[in-house]
Amino acid sequence: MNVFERLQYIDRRIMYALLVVAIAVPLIWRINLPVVVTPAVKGVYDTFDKMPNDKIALIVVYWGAGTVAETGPETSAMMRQLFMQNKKFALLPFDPQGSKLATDEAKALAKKYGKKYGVDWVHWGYQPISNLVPLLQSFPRDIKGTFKTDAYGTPMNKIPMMRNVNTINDIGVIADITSSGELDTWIAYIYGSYRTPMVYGPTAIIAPEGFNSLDAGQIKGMLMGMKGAAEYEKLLNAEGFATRAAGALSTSHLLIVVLIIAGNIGYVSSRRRRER
Amino acid sequence: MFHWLSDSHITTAVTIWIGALGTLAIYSILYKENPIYRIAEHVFIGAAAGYGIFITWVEMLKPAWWDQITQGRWYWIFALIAGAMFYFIYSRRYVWISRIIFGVLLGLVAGGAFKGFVGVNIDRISASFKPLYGQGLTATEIANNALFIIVLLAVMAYFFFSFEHKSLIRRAPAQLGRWCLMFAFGAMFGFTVMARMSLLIGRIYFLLHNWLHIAQ
Repeated sequence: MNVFERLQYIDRRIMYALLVVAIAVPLIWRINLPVVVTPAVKGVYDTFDKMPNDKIALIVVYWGAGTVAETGPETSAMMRQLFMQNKKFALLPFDPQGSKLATDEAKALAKKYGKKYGVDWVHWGYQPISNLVPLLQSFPRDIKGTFKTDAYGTPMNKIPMMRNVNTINDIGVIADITSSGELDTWIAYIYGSYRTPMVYGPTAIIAPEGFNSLDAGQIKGMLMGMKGAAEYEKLLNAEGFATRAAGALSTSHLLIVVLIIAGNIGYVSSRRRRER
Repeated sequence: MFHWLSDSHITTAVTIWIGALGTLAIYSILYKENPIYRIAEHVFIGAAAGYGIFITWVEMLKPAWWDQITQGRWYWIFALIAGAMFYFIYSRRYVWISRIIFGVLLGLVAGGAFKGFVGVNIDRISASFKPLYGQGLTATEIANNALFIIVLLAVMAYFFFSFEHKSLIRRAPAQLGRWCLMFAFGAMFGFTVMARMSLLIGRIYFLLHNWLHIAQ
């Protein structure tokens, strides 16, 4: 087997090993590549920034441990901005794992920014995703009637920040952070009926579906996976995991491009040799 | 014997070790199929399902349903009856009971789907009519809007199957539409690769940072 043929048949285990090295090196020895903030990410920041202080943000968590590397930093960055700007938010998880992971992150950030549960943030309790449509038809008219207690069994009326939150008009922004494609349901039942500003935090794999809504103005901004979270962290001037991972994201992509080029060089060269 | 369970430092360390060994066990599939991978896979799925059932009861069913019944609102028992009706699909004799509840569900879904279509697509259709002059548009915005309209019409031409694309006037826009679709699919695949890399980075960062303490 000559060198060109070998380029076409590199053992996948060698490629995996190269990938691990390409990712590990920038994580250990940090490389600072420029992070350019895109208008979609700026849209998310501006939407929260413009939210009146007498309204609350609703952070929808529909992701689990499988996509925490992407959706975790997105959720974290949104909560961070809200805490930094003294704005209140509610968590509404549709995934049991996401409920735990987002709550842990909210607690850690609340401790860092000196915020209190029930005063600055609240957890409306996990809801099965099969409940989504009935829930979207019910809660805009009567939040406390739909979510009678928070995640810890406290009646909504006894939670200070929920005192004046009764309908969708008291929600300033809805952030849908998801590893699934249920954004259209939110748009259909919430944005379509009430025009509540929405922002979107998908995993990169489903981000292309969000561009239609972004272009139509149905969502005001979008984070595209880990890259979007890194841009958001730059806007917040608060470096987190996504910023650190941005370098590894670039080197891993570079390696894939190099491997694709190498495979193609091998293929074209081998064919030419055979034709001769 | 289990006093160490109340020490958060020890439980955190144990959790990180379990996470790290579980990660390595799952990734061992990349080398070849092996029993360690199988065990880790089953443990993860079992733990996730068990945790899901626990959270569903504690945060959803108990406050929203069980507590309602125990506080005197007995009519919430009908929710259990309606839910149980679905299970009659497994009985040949009583399958008609499940059809009632499935019929109600399908009716609700059909109504919801219509509302969903209107709510989602009206805005998108109206956003497709982009201006090409006036309204204080810059040259870049006009070019961008023109490009959008050309791509939109070309892709629609590709999906117009009412007549054969024989003549050049019919074939050329359809071919352009096909190229545009290919570019779009390429971009979507790029996003897919980025998503996969991000997940891998997350796990490697966990191993290097939380477990081995060699990353920042």
